[in-house]
Amino acid sequence: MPKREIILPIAAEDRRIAKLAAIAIGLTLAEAALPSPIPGVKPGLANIVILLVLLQHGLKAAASVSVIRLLAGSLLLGSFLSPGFWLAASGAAASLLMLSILQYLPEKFFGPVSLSILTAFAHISGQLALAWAWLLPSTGILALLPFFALAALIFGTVNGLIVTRLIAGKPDMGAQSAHV
Amino acid sequence: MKRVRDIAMLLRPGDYVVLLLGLLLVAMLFSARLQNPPGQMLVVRAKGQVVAELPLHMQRTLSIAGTLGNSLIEIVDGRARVIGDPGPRQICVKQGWISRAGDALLCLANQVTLEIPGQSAGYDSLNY
Repeated sequence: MPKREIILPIAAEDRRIAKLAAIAIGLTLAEAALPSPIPGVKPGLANIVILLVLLQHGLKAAASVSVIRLLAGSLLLGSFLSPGFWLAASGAAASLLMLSILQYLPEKFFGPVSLSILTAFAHISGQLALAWAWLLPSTGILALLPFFALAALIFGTVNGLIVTRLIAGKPDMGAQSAHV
Repeated sequence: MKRVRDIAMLLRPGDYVVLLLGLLLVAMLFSARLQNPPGQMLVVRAKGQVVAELPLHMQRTLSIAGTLGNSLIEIVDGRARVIGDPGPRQICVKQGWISRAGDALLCLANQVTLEIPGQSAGYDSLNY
């Protein structure tokens, strides 16, 4: 039998995504340890990383980091394939869909804060849509909407400000921006 | 003041529009919620199936079997809450009481949900 060798070349791009995903996973774990003032509401710190990746390396890299974070984060937290995992997955999918549209916004007028707020709203919409369709097919879920929307606005704004600050602090990284 | 200016520096014109629209949306959602009248019935579901429909004015506790175990539910004085749940994060327990039409408690892990449905005109027995 001929000896077959499978070589998976590791590109610089792969290393970069792995590094960024590791940061996002770290933030996810740190966040899970934080006590939450309102049940189910989290600041979404990993979104800072994903938004940064989008602005500096484009949508494909951001999607990779998001999916790796989702899978690895849930495996580490023990929530893989649980209802909570699917809620997180639908939130992440809605966020990526929103980002894929938002990347075409004129950069001159809309900064990371806009992207962050709108994506946070997309995130809760995705989550609540799944919760509504799957767990509570009625109007009941609407009762939670104002609280989630308020949290999305606050954390979306704060995360967006952090992203703006991080990009402003490192203009050389911003130079390879894939934001069109 | 310097802080405020620092933050303002980070915002672009469109960001203010998005922020404002976001605030408006949140305010609308809250005001819509506060207009909900007190509910009459509590609908309890387990694994998606309705397992109990109870009037909120009757005081009682009941145990509902979910996927992980039993969720303990209490109804007192037109309000309902979850006293005990086998879920890991206890979200529906910590949420406390619900009383208004449209309110809900979700014990996701155990797949038990409590919901106070909105009144629909079709079932109004007092007015024609």
